[in-house]
Amino acid sequence: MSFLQPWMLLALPLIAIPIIIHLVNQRRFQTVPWAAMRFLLEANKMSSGYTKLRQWLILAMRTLALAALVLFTARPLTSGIMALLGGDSNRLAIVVLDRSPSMSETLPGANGNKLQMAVQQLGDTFRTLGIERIVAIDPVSEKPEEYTSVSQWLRATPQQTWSATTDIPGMLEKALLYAKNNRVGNTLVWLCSDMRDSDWRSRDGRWKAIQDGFKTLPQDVRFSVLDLSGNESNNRSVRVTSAQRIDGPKGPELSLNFRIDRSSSAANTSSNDTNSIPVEIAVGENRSVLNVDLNGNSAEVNDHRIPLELLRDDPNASRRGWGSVRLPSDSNPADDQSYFVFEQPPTRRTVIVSDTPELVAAIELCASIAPQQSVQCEAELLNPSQLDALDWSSVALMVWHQPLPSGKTLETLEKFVSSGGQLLLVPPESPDSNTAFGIQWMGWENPPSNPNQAIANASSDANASDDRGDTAADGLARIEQWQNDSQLLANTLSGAPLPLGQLGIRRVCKIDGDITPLASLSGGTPVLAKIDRTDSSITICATTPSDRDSTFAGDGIVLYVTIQRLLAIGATRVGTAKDVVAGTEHRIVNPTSAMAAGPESVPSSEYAMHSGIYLADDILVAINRGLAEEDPRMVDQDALQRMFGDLSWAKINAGKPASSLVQEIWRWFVVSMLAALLIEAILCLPRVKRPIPAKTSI
Amino acid sequence: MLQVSRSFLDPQILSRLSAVPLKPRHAMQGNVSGKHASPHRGSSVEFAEYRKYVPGDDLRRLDWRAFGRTDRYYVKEFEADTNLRCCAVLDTSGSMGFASKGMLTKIDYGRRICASLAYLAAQQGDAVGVSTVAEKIVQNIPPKRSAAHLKLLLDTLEKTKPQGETRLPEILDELAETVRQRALVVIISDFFVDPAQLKQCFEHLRFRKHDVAAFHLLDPQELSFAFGRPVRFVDMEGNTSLFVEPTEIADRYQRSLANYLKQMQQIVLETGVDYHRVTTSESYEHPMMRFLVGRTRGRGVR
Repeated sequence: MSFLQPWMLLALPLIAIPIIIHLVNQRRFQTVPWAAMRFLLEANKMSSGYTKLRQWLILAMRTLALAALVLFTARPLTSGIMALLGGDSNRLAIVVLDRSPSMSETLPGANGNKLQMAVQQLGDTFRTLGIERIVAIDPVSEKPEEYTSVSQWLRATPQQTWSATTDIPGMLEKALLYAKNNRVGNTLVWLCSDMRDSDWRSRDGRWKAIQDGFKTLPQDVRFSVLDLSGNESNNRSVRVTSAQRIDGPKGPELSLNFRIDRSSSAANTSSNDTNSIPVEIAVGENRSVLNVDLNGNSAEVNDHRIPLELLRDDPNASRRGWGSVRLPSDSNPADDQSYFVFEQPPTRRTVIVSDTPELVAAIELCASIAPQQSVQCEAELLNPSQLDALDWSSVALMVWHQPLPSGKTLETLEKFVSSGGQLLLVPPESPDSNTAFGIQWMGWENPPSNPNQAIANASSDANASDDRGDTAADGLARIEQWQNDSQLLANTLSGAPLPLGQLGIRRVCKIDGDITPLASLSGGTPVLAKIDRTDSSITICATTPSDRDSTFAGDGIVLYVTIQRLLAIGATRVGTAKDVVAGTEHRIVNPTSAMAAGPESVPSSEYAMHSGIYLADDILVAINRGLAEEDPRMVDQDALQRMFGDLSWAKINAGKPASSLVQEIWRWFVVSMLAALLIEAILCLPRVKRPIPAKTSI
Repeated sequence: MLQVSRSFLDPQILSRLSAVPLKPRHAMQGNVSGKHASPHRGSSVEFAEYRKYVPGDDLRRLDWRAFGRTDRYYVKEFEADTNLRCCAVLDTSGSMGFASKGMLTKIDYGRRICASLAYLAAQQGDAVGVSTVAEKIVQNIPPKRSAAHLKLLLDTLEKTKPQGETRLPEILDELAETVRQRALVVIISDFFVDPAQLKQCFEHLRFRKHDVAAFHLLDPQELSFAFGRPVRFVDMEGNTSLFVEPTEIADRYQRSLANYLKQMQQIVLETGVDYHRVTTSESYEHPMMRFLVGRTRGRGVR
């Protein structure tokens, strides 16, 4: 329990008054000569248990009444927030609001969603505590907003979640910066979240820096975590996994793949609900309804065809368009709609930079053969001197069969990669000591041949038996392990693994640097690897597809699939229709963009944070919530302790609808005081006794 | 009659009390002829019975009329009248000195009762004596009839002071033996002794055929036990003291007192004692009047 006016507790010693009066009264005795001593002595010997208990009860009731009076005047509160405030209600309040899609969930019995509940509870708490100085941290704007009254803060605080996953460590970094720069006094940072690990990023390395930063501040900063986690009572979510325009036999069609998931608690509580969900599919302004049967808690719709020729209203619809898949509304509307864009697939252009084209001829061949009729592929062989004239915007895949770049070339390639282009590094014939992208070619070597059989990882066991056979005697090293859960070497649509075990490696170029091996020889020598970068756009092949170095060209399936997959990824940067994750593309979707579909009343400055369809510089962008939002993991007490470390923090459960975080409970003390006085009065009532007759004669 | 002027005697009250005669409840055995019934046959005018003549009887007492009617000899007998010997026993122990504010001390109250009783007895020609008792018999004045004796009694009462412990049971036993049979024994005390011992004493007095009356004097504060703040009670008959919170103990005190008074009532009923509980807040005239009037209701039994 905490108090709004804790200084009134200084009056607590007043509760000793009844005890002092009792003691003084004991000393104020009178001496009386007494005749009927025998009755007194007899009375003294009789059991006095109840009488003594009554006296002590009376004393206790008087003390209790005074204590209740003092506590009542100190204005007690229900929760320990004042303890968190350290009794200083003039602390600056820095508010960090989690506005991730999961905060749109409406708890049973609540009037608003979790975000609205948090804002309302915080507002009530600020009013109760008399907090007037509030700073709101916004992940979009650079500068935190300062408010001088609760009503001002409430008016300015948006009550709408966005589709982006919240970066709580990032917002705390901003709070730290604000506290440092503005020399604020004692501060209480309010973190309102539904405790999803995707928002808190508990493993993020920034937490250590945040801890250290706040610890070095001269002022006292404390953290209050408002836990808004609660069971999703009835929630379904939909996500479009792909939307492709294909040329069908009757004209252009849209091939749509989407997935519906239902929360397990919703599955339990809505057992009476039908498993068939009417899904509204909109393509442009045209809508249709598809009933999807749930298989357990999920359903996956693959290759749902929508003929685009029928969209007469929009003549361009057959070339490029957008749409959405929407579920009937439930407890969390933020994940009930998923947007998509589609267009005529752009040409997948591969540029191969090499001085020895014969060594990479297989790559050129693989890159120029389209996997589908609707897709066009082309490959171009260049030497480094021709790079200046290259139109980088049309390139999906760059194959670099040269010594590692440096200088301006390196900068150009960095830009290409950071814009979404795919780069495949192939070791040159004569590697130098140059370092680029954090790696260095260390020179060619002949790996020892591996007489053992290729061992694929778990899911490739079935196919591994096919790989066994006559490869032991050919003197080739075999790929022993590969990541079939990676996008590049994933199993085929039929579930069969790629035949990497059949590949033979004669020569590999060793790599030095931070890489993640995708396929390795025995002993761990990587053959295919990714450079550890956030964009994962640079792939390394440690050998060439020429027969002199490997059997990549001879067993061309792996090479073809890998090149086409790289091209598919890289092609996304080339087209004019993009699917992006909310909150990641502020450069593309900016306030000058136009919203074609999406939530209304969203400020243009937050376009990049909200799901919808936007038109930005003739690029059609579909923004959806990130995959991280599907992660059900929550941040537990241990994780919070790890994140905050030695900082002063406390978690307050704010997940009950229509309840205040902090409430004055002085009424209970008034009632207690009255009850104590009443009991004291009852105990003090004299007993009704039969009077002894003054005179009797017999 | 001897003219007396004492602070503890109110002539007006005495004159009102004189209107009611002091009578014993049983036949008394006095020294001289008097107004009260005697257990023996005598020469009064009140016929008692016929008895068969036996040789040796005084022939003058033969009832010749009865001889004439029945041809048998009968002797006619008459009641004998005698005087009353009244022994007042006044408790003068320390506890009798207690008085609440504005009240008479119990010994003052007892002194008034005792003096009035002595005056009334003397006035009707009965012998009266006083014993003041505490740890022992402090002063013992045997019953006499003379007016000078009354003065002595009053002087003695005037000088009496409350002191010492109460050993009433032993003293009453002693008086039961020393006072000649068939006397009126009036005990004036607060009786703060063991009721069982008192019962034995009363039975002893009754066994000696005394007419026993008891004035039980109690102060109003002893009954109500009304104290506001803590009190250190000092025993008036010793050095014992007791510190109590009156509000805590009042309940049990009242219970103990009520239990004691109930026992007293039971005892006086069983032993046939003429018992009067008196609160010192009332005028002594009232208990005296109750005492006297109560005795006029029944006729003396021989």
